[in-house]
Amino acid sequence: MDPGTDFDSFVATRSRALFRGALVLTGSREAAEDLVQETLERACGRWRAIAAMDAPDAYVRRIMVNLANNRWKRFRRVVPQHDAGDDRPAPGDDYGRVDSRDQLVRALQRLPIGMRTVVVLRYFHDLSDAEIAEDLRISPSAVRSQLTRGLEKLRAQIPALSEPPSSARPRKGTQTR
Amino acid sequence: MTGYVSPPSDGRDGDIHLEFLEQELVTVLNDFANTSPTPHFDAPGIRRHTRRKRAGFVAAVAAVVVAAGVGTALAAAGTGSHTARPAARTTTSTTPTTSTSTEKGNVTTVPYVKPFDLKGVPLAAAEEALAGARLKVGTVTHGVVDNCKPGSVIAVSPLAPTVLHGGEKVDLAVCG
Repeated sequence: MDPGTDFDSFVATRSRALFRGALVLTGSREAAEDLVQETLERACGRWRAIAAMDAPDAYVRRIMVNLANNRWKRFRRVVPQHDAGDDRPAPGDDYGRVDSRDQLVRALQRLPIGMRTVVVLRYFHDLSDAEIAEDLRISPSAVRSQLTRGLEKLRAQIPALSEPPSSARPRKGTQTR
Repeated sequence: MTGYVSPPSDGRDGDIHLEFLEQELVTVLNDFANTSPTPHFDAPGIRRHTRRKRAGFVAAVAAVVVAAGVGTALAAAGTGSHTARPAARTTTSTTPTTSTSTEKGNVTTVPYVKPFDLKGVPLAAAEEALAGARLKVGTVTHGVVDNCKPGSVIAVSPLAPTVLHGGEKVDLAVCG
């Protein structure tokens, strides 16, 4: 197939998935759009090689993830933090599920980009440690520790999500009455 | 405090024992991914843009080529031509070759000096190269162009095909 139309059909069929990935990675529509646009430009530049690969998708996603990672490192872009107090669940609303999901989204955006990327690759793209390691060119054990620390941070920010609401919380000596 | 927390799943097949937080993450991420419709990405536009960019890149390389030699420097303007611009005041012996300069009477011919390309070179190396050619480093500014490596030279001034003499200054723009 002509490489041009080939690229066009890739964009037509895959840009939705790319954009979704970019959205969870960046947390904002504008940033996600920029990121995908830039990713596609990069991919287009070496399309001939990419098209010949077994999994062009995976490679393009890798371009995107690394682009996001590097950019964040360089510019230290700060995610707007309407933070503190605001995020804490109101007493009595600890188990408001929708509320804690909302918090989770925001807490996720506050993770350092490296951790966020690992979390997104695991829980959104459903990749294994080894696959993530390969994408980010880091060791599987680094993936592991980023992931563990990332989850710890999320847990610390949203205590309500540490355990299912159903198991209420008669742990830790709270059985007073 | 986090004693009861199990390590995150390693994502291998068959690992269905996701913790509550992990399940929530999957849900939340998927929900969030759907909060915004996919904008249109203009594939033909990107292809044209990429082609143009590539051409631009080649031009940039040619433009940053600075030729410098001992005493006299000659910008070859990418063609390897032996003719300098009329403005060139040569200070060393010039050996008029059987040059191609037939168009104008006042064309000065100088020995051909291989130009060196400073694009993408780390600042320190560029300074060394200039010093080696008896040129001085002028003002160093910082800027960013697409895709540049921090600390590397992205532009020089004056550009080819300006002729430089020993002791003259070259301004550099550095990425970052």
